[in-house]
Amino acid sequence: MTTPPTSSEPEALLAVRDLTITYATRAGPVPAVRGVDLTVRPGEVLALVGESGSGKSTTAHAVLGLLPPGARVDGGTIRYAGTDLAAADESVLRAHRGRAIGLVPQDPAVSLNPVQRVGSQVAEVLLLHGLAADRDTAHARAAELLGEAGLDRPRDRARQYPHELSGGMRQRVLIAIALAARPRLLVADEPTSALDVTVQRTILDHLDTLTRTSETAVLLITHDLGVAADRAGRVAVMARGRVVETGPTDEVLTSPRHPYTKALLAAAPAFAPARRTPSGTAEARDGGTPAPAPADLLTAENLVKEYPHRRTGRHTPPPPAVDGVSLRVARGETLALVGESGSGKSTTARLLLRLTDPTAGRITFDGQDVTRLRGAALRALRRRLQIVYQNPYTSLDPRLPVAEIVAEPLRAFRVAGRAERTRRVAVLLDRVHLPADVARRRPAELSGGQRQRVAIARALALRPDLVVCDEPVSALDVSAQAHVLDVLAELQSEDGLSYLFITHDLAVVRRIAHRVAVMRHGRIVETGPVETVFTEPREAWTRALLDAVPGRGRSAPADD
Amino acid sequence: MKRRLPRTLAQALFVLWAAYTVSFAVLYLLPGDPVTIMAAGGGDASSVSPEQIAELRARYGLDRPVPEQYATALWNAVRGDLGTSVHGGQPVTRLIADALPATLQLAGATLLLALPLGGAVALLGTYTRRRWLRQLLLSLPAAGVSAPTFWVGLLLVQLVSFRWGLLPAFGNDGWSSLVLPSVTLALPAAGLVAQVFAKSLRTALAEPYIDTARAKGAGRARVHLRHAARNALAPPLTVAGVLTGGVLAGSVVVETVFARTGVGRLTATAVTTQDIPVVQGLVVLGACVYVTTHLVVDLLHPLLDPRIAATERPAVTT
Repeated sequence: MTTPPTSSEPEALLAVRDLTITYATRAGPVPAVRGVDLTVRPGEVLALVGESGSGKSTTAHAVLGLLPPGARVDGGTIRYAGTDLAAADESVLRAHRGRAIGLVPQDPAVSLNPVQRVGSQVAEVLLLHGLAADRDTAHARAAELLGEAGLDRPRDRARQYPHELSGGMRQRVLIAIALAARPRLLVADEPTSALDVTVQRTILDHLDTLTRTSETAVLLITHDLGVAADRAGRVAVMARGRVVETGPTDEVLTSPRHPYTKALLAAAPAFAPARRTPSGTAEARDGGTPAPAPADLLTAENLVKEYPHRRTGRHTPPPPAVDGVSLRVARGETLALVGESGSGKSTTARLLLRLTDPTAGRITFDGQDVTRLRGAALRALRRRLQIVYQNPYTSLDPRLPVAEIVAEPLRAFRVAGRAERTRRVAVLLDRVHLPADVARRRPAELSGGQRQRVAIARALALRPDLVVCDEPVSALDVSAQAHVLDVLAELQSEDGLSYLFITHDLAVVRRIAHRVAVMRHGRIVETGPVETVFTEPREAWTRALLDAVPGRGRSAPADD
Repeated sequence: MKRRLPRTLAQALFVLWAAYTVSFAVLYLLPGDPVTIMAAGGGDASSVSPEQIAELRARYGLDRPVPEQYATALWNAVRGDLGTSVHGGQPVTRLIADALPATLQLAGATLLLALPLGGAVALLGTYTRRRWLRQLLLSLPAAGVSAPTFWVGLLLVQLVSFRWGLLPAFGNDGWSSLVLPSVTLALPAAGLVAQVFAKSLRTALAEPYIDTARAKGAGRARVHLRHAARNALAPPLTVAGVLTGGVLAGSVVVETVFARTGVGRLTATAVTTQDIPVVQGLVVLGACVYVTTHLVVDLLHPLLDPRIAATERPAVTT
């Protein structure tokens, strides 16, 4: 099992050679990783970049011997300090996992055992590898580790359950788990994709510091070129199960050789130039003039939403989720509402859509006060206000074919006859650049980007005036993101649609929005044209948000 | 949880009241005159004179308006007096109290068999890597659930008692007589527990925190028991609560098949002889059992999962 390291790369801590992994599916074996070579040297950070389905996560999990059921290593070697982990048996793998190679998983919300105190979950690593004499020392050490990972009051935190911690804190717990046994290699699988940008930044900074002081090598899996640019010394780009390009980060990102890398860079919002114009309404966007028709389509004045609080133990009521928000959206305009999770942006959207009733404030739509509309009038309003949800994997009924999903609003409002509906569905699918045969398929057969375009087609079925897009691209890969954003911009220029675009991703704002409103703690702290806010932010919070965007140093070289 | 307890108790009392009221309504207001049955004493009703019937009516308060009858009966029930048997004339509470120990033994033995058995089948079935064993173990529960109780009971009596002469087939004498009836009841119960537990184990094992545990270097057994099983316990616990009530219903069949005395037999007799006060007392008993087990299950859930204790908070999300 154990062989001396090959002489050609004496310094490699991890050497993956010609790794091939296939998934067994009902349709036969599907190759996921096809002859991948990777080298991680001691103490270095290697970013493995690619879109979902590129095989990067499968490669990372293979290093730990944690392939999902149905996946099998068909060939190649994974040498860690001389041991071939691809051929090792379970006991060898177990001795390596956690001890020699730590894993920071993708989604902190679901990666901690919900029924165990976080301290015990950290202590478990120490106990498993015999790094603590007894339970008490393990728990004491676990609290220290939580402190090192950047949690305040680590002793109290250690006694808490995961649901009592925020996403950022949970990720710190997972980092404490991964680093508990002082491994020499850390596999970080999209460690911060599920977190807000500011949290993402502090976590990655902290991870940098920890791994640098302990000289831990990092295999950083990410779809975010910005993150790779900021954090990694070297980059390997994966596509369709192969590493297409590898080299020092600066080299790969400034002068990419492979066409796929070029395409990835072009699609990445952080590296793309600010979108002045989508195809079409150029005049509208240039020169900072807001919109073709200055008439406000939707306005909100001093919206407040308080949720009732039932906790009797609390003395002070919680602050309102939305606390005096005023905004307006003009015809044909895109207003981006940005903020971190918990800032109240989704609640604001629900208020504007009249899905929730405001505690106070006033909403007008097309000149009419709609704050207290009921019954038939409210239903009529719904025709003109549509929504595209964040997650295209859950917002489409999995049992219905696409044609019925898109036609559902038409049926609900009895808009057209059967034949006419079929015709309209075909037109709508064409407008969102989906092939006609998609109509007969079910959502499960479509990719994330295709599903989101189905959701857009459904939102457009009733020819609304305003579409609220709630994080419509945050669940998508960069190239799918770019495509969906292009479709949205095109539809706007053709129909004069207005968008209220909710996002936490400032790079996306640059691409799609005319004006931006920055939310924090239920209030709008800054609002203005995108270019103005981005280049001359007035508020410290806006600046912090902008600074936290990964890869920003590269996209705006003139700045800092 | 401390805040939730009074509310849960109030709900429990409401369920008891509702069970009593509905059974009162159904049993007294539907055709089938209790006095005629009573007076006949199993014989021919026509032999009883109208005067005697009127006298009986007056004695049992049946000549009063229905709401008054109901109020009196309810007040008596609250004080623990469920009336007297139409046949025999013993107090209903007495009859139930006499029958209860035997059935409690049966129910206890059933649960003691069913829960570990079902749990073990589910744990092993999801743990083993041998394909045939996995498929065998995971198909057993379906067989257990679908086999009818009376059939299994008769089969066991036929084989174990008559052919092999190992255990008594009938009666209430000692522990040996408890084995066959409790096995009969435990098999479908274990099947149900195993089905639900295996499903929730498979779900738990697919969760990302299982990957985290494995990435720590934990072995399969540890991951299975420490991380997956604990998270998978809530659904089988709920099922176990329902089963506890179900054992009472199952005892009607099993106590008849095995000729045991107990609540099930009492129910069967009371229903066939239209002994209405006894039937009503048994309905109240059943409601009590269900309410108590649900209360216990409710109280256990937050101990299993700390998140449940926190669900009281208003969900403020954006």
